[in-house]
Amino acid sequence: MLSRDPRIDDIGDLSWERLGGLAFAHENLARRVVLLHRKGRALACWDTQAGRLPLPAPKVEDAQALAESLKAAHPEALEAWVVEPEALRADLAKAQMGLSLDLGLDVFLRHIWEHRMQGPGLGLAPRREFMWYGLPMARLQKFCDNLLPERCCFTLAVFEGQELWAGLLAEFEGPQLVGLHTLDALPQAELASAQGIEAAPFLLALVSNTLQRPAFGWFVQKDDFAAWMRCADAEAKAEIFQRGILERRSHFDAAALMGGPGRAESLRPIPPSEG
Amino acid sequence: MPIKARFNGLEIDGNLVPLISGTMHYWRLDPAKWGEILDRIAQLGFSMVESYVPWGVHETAPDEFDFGRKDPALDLDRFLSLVAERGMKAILRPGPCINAEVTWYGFPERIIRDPQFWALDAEGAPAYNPALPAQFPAPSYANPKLFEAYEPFLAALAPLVQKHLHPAGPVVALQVENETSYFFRQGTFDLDYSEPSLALFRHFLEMKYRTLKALNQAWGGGIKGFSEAQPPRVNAATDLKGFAPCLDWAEYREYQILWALSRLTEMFRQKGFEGVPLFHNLYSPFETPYNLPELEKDSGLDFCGIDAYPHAHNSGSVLDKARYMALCSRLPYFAEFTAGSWPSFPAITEQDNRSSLLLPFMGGARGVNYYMLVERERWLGSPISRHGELREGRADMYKSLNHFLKSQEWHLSSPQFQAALLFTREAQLSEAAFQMPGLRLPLARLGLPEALLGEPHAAGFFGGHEAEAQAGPEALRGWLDGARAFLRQSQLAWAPADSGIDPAKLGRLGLVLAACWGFLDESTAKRLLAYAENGGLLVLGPQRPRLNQKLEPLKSFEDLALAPGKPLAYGDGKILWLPGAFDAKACQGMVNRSRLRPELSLSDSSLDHGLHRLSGRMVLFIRNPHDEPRSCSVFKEGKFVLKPLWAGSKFLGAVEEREVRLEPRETRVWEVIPC
Repeated sequence: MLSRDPRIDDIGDLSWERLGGLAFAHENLARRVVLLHRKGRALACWDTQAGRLPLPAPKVEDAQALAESLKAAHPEALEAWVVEPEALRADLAKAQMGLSLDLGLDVFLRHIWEHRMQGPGLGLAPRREFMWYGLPMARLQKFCDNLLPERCCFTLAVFEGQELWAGLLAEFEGPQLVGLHTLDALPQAELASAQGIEAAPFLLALVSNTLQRPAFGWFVQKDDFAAWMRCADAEAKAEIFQRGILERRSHFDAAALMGGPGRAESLRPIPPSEG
Repeated sequence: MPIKARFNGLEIDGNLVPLISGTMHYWRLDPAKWGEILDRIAQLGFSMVESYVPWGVHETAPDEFDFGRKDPALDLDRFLSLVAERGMKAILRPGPCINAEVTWYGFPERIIRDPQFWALDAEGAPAYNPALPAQFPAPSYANPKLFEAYEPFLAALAPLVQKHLHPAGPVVALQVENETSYFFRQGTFDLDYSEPSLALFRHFLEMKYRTLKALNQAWGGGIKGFSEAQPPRVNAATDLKGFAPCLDWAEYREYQILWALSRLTEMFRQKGFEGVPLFHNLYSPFETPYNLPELEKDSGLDFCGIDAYPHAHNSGSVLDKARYMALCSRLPYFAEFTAGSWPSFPAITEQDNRSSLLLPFMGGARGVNYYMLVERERWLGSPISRHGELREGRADMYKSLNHFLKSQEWHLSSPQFQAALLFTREAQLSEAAFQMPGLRLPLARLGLPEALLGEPHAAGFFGGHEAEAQAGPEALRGWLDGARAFLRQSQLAWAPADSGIDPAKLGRLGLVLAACWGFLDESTAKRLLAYAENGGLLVLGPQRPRLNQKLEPLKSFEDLALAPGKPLAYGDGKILWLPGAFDAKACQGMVNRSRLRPELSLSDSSLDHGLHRLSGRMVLFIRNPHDEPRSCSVFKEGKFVLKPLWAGSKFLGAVEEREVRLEPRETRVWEVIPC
């Protein structure tokens, strides 16, 4: 899905800090409990916030069952891992040996993840699909493969009340992500009039005209978006997404995916005041 | 006259020129804008510009290169002419690896795709580097064919660069390679098990042991020829003979980097890149397998820098790096220091950059290259846009900094240190030789600390006194943490160091806390003893060194009547052995009975401070590492006043004060004036 040579520019540091903060929260900052073992003999147990823990059992007979009991014993942790370093090395090596260099990085990493999850010495609770920077990659890939037109741009606009808090533009060609920008790529003078999620049509037209491709997008309140990003479970993410739309706090405009509002060049941005 | 690398900068035609520069990637910018962008760089007070020269971008077909004939953005000759026209200097970094968020890290795709160049992991699989935007199998730096493949690019580049080398042109230094690091795969038993690497490992063994008999003695026998020696893939040692191959492999991992850089440095010299210093950069860590002093000593490089991309919350790491280099490097230099960040990293904001701006200088670095001074694709947060516009807040920050450095003639200053926390290279290697076999990065990403990644049987492996009998990686890291906490509390001006510390600088220190575990090279042991004999206070732990580099009894320490926690008079100095945990009370007791006192102290010891001498003056930096404002009093023998020299991006008037206030994460600098 990710092009090998994407154009990543016009990245505003404020937007990137805000969006990145949420993306990295899941990857790096979450509290975890980790048990290391070798061939079933428990070696060490560690809480990333509290430090060393006593070994819950001298032996690891079922890594997944132990991960689940660790998670139950430490509900404050986001997840519990049971890992055998040597087996992990062997699993990763096996997974990488047959991979094509032409896979997109996200597909490559997902493949590694799925292979790793099948490793005999590994347990993870709660079991989850591959999240990359907080994104459920398997679902996103299915969406890109099946639903995207030849050329389009996904627009993420996150609002704090009426104010545009941060945003992202992801350009697609075929199923590949070929460009990534923040809203800094758009004409700033025109962007200033985008207030609240009602500005969705205006923003989509602005994106279409600027990047010369049909645009679809998600227009969401900051709290909902933060909850969505921090959530490690794809089902729970779907619920947050749907609830926001049902309760009219967010809006998802996919008209462009259905041959909707025409080609980019025929669009004129209509400021909300004229709508 | 050749340009020489000095501790304080580059000596060009007899003049000392500070090594302060900023990065601009010419090939990623509109060539019509180059001149205007260089003018903006000069407007910020920079007189030196730095750029990579990417092999994979200039190569249009195998061994065919475009330097501007087809694509004007690749016209390096014109770019360097524009630099010269403005009276500026240039630093070039022609790879072969550049990273720079370029797909394939600057290698031509044909090299990346060719399995003959691949490094292999312990299982024989290619070692993919999963960096945005595309994963690729890391090449092996033990493979001579990689350097042969690179040679035509260097040969094609040579006449162009020679034309612009000082004194004929603006190029004053060249970087050899970039962040050579096994492509961030730090695990001892992870890389590199490719055939060329195994051959180099055996060559390393031959150099180390000389005879098969010696190798068999060390490894426990059974090896019929050096070509049969197999590298370990896990440390399952039960005795020293089982440990020796693991230690050799850990040492070899340093050697592979040294070998590769020596070879590349020689290639650069053979291509006529003469008369200018050649240097390298470590990507961030300065523990094994990254051995900065060894690279400076044995690779032919003139100096080696370190890179730093701190956020405000972890900007203290900059002080560690700068201070380490001030004691252990010929020219303390940040080859890349954050001016913004790359998109797959948590954004480094203007506030982050502001909070770390003074730290390289506070720590004692002499040179800094700001990366990226000019924005390009796959980057955010530079002070100059791709179109040559200045971004107000960020641009002012660098302008003001350059004004400060120039007006103070900062490059003539010298950092003052009273103590060192010396993490001996030998303890680092022993620890590395006991690493668990997994990949370090995935484990570290789960939040596991360094000490937990050691083999459990490492604890107590080397035996010893009952208080140190269980010493292992965890005790070693604990001892280092305890020593660090003690130094902070003591308010002595201190720096991290390793066994490669400059001997002259070692001799000037009042206190050295040396972390030892496993073995100690006889030469390091002798230097530490000579240090104590000449009046230094030497603290050892968590283990008393008992083995030398051959894992035989360490003679230098054999006859010392060391007793735990009790200082032993040794020549004019003392030796204190703190087995197991670091005993701050015992250490403080020894310091109290000496004449060693902090030259200056603060009422709040949680603040960092740094002292420098500058043309007979004393300059004081104080950093507030906290999220809230802090105030403190400054204490020093005799009467004095503080004259503020810098605060954030503003200069202050000649206000005199001894009570100072710092905003969250702020660093300020004063001149300490006796009165």
